[in-house]
Amino acid sequence: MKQLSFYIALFISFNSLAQVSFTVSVASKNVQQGQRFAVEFKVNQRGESFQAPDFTGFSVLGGPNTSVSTYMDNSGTRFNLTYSYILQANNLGKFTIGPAYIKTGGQTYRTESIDITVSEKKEAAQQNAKNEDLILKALVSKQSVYQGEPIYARYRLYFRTEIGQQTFREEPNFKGFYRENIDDKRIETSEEYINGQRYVAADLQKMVLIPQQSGELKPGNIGLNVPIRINSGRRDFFGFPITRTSTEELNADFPTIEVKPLPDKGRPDNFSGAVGRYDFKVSLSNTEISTDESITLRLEINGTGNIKLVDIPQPEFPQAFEVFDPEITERSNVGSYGMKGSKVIEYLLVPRYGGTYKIDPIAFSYFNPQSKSYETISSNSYEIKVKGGQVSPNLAGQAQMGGNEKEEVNFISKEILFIKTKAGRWLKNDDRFWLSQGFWGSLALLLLINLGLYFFWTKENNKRANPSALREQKAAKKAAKRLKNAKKALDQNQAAEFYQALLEALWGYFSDKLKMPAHEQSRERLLEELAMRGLSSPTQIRLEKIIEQAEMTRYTQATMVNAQNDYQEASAILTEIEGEL
Amino acid sequence: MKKLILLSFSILLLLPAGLMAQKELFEAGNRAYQAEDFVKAISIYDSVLQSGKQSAALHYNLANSYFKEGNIGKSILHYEKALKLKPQDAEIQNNLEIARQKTIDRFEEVPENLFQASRLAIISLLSPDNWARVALFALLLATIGFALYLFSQYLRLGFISIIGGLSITLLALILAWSHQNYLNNNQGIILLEDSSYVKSAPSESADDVFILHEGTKALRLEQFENWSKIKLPDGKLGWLLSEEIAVI
Repeated sequence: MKQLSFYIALFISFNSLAQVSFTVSVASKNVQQGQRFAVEFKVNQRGESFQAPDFTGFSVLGGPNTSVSTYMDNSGTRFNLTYSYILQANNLGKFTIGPAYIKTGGQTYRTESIDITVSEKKEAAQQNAKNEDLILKALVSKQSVYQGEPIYARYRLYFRTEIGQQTFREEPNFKGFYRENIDDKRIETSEEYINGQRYVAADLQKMVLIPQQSGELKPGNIGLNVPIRINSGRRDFFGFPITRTSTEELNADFPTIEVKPLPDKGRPDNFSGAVGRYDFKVSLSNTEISTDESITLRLEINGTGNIKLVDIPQPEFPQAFEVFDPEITERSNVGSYGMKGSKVIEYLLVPRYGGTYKIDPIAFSYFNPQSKSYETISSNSYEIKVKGGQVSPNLAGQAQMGGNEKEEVNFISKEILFIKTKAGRWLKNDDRFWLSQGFWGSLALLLLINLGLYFFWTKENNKRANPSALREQKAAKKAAKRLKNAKKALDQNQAAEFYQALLEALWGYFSDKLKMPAHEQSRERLLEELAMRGLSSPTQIRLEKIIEQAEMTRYTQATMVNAQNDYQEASAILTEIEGEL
Repeated sequence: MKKLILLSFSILLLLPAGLMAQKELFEAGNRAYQAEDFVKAISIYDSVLQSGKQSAALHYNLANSYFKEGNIGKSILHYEKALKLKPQDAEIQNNLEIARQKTIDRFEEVPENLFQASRLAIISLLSPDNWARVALFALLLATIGFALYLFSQYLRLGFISIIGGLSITLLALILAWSHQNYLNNNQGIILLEDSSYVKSAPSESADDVFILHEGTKALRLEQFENWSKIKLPDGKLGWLLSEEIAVI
């Protein structure tokens, strides 16, 4: 170990004999305002008391950083001591970095003073042009397109120096564009000549842009940071060139795209913004099914253009079908051709009723930028036969999907029937019978008729029923009442009881009528009394006879021979007496 | 006296003149319709209505004209009015159905409960006017029965007539009253506006409950200021401005 230090000391002492060089170097004597740059002071001998100049007009961002290097070449071992500062230019103008001092071997050495010109900050792009090792360009397939027409665009870097991993400092905002990047797994390079210089070209980013609005669109600026190796022009100990890494800031403007609006002329009604070249296919899985089966209607759009932004036309289905939510499949690729792919929509239809139904042709329209015209592809119309099931009724309450087809299918006329040619019965606008005057009038009239009928009837009755007739009627009633028991016996064919009852009835009647006490009851007394009251003599005789006959049966064998006659006679006499008295 | 004679003469002259006028107007309207001048036909038919006269045929023809003009709301309104005067007319039913298919709103009709439905079916058998006529006819029958009972030997027949007639009279009067009451509280209305928001309360600032479109038929349950409370066939309730609807 002691030996090693000895040798090193020997080398140093040997070198110290060589000529001392103390120099200053800057990367560039022309700097821009705000730019950072390094100032290096190099001495090839061990030195001491290094005295830096005051960097008037600059601000010191870093330093002094010292680095020591020793190396050997043909002329022997060399030594380098570097003091470096990082400065930033603050003010415009010409500034002088004064001399620096260092002592070595007892002598003081000084560097030259250098003048730095600080100029105004220039545009990055212009500065970029200075560095001819690197060129960044944004390339587009077309600069004048129709709205909705895809553009293929890429950022291309040309370089003829060794570069490191690039990073984007700034990307365009692509306002007004739909953008889709093309992802390449690896970047391919090619050779290109620009101004007679050979460059390696690489597409850093590829993309497809679809303009969504018309006008002059400026996507913006691209900023790219590229690290490069700068050859210092010297070689290292082993003969390799000494390089350092510096980051280049590249800028490029994205070209302005002129987007033309789609022409209004000839634009179909069903146009929904498809631009490109397309194929449109419609297929139906089956045209003859039974009510428990289903069919699939498949619509496919296929082609190159803004396929991702294309709307598939909406078919109209007959009302007799139940339509389920459609299944949509999308496939698209982007590449230098732009964008291509397909969109497929599948509807599942289940018939509700039997019958024959029609699906109208489905039309798809797109704008062809090449022919600069609209093109329409129409499908066939389909007829579906549904076997079995009941025929679709004409239900007003059903959800209507098929528009007017249901009328055609159901053979129900869409057209109304003709007007009536005969006016029919005319009515007053608010002719109402219920609770009207006519109603109340009729009601009152009918009730009055009833009332009238009643009064008429009572009046008639009074007129018809004269006093004697009335009395007679009453007497007959009374007699019938008195003779009730007798009548009963008569009906039972019991002669004795009949006459007994007949007598009792007669006596009962007269005792009530003449107010004769029971002990005074005798035939003579009765007749006397009746005569006094003015009973006509034939009636008296008849009464006497019937009483006599009835009493007689008490003592003789009673027979029913004359019973009927006697009853009627008694009844008649009683009626007569009642009427007369 | 002279004036009186003059007046009665002019009344005699005017009466058939008025009748003639509406018949002639009706036929003029028909000619305009035939010539496909529907606007003219509408104005002519309307003038007859304005004069206070109507008939099922007039409403039907007017509805046809509105249909041809594309005014579905008014077309349905007049078909309904025609149908109200002549409920069994096949032509009116047919055209009303076609007009209804042009409307936007569709409803699932909610079944009413059985009691209400059967009650409604019974009171709707006849219009209130016809129920009233039935009542009066039954009362006439009872009167004849009364006369028979009082003045003839057909006592039994008379008695049955009285009892039967009186009970039918009473029943028919009740049904007429119920039907009229039902109609007063459930006036059919047709929406005439293209589309209209139905509110939850009778106020502009109330929430929108749902939206209805031209030609939709509903029932009016009550009125409040210039708002009408309506009930849709599916049972939904809400308020509409009265000026947007027309009563059938």
